[in-house]
Amino acid sequence: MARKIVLTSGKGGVGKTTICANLGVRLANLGFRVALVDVDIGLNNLDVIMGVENKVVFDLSDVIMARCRVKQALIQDSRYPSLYVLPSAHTDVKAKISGENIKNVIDMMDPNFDYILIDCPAGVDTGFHRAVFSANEALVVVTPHISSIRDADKVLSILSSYNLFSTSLVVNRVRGDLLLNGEMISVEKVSELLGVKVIGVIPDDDEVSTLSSLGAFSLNSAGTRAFSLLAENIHNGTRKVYDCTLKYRGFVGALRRSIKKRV
Amino acid sequence: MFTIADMGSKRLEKVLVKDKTEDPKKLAEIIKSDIYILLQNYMELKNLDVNFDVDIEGYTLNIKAEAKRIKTFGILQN
Repeated sequence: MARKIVLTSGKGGVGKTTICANLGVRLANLGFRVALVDVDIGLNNLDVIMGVENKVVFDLSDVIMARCRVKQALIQDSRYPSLYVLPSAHTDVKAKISGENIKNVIDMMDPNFDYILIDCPAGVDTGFHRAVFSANEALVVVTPHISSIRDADKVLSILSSYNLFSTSLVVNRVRGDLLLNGEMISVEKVSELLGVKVIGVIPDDDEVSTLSSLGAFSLNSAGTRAFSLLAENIHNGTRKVYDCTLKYRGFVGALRRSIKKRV
Repeated sequence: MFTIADMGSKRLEKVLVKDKTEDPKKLAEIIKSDIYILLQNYMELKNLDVNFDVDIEGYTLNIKAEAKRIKTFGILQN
């Protein structure tokens, strides 16, 4: 049986889709069969981040409307053969799609995958409920900024009414230099304020955002190491998180911080 | 030393509390209905008052229950 994990946040632009794609890649790299399902209907981007936008023939709405089978809509990643993407419709067909419809599609995929990652739309309206309905676990993506944490708090309140097996936090875009300068809310504080344990910390990594524009993934950057730890934590139930402050400690680190601040 | 991050955290704490104080009466009603069901296992209730207050220090729940009769404890399991 596949683990069905929804990636949600409340606030838009915190990196749900990027984390969904990178986590999928890392899990596939560990040898698992992974499906990424884009439930952000109308504002879908998972296909672009994964670099498969030119391979889309059918999408989630086609499966729901019985215009094709799930197998026909799933796009296999050429770099990671055990990784598949189920793209979403770019036209507005939201009104015709219910949470039950999406759950049926995901249940059909269940026997063929180890992990099904559901990319949830921003906000807490119908789209959010539609995405969470099919999941049995949730990852709440948050950045260490007031607006993002506030929205995550609201999302967590709503998630508590769902019968989810687990809910964890992924703190994205953490800057080690700002943490050490006392200019960014710490990961521990974010976790304390929201009352939820952190399963992953992703540094603000230029390489991750640059490569996502190309539909590519870094193999050896700070972000990659953080995503690998996140994937291992999810699979093993551990809580080892990436230390974003490491490269800013000591004499050389202080120099780096000082240069970054001036630039 | 009080840093920018500390100031941000304090501000955020207040915002999160304020968000939850928007409708404490509604929350008190929900808690009341749950407590009513629970207490009915032990007593015949005459009156039940539940007040839920939220402030920066924390959350306070005041429950006042008046019972007409306590149900027989002999049938309750330890």
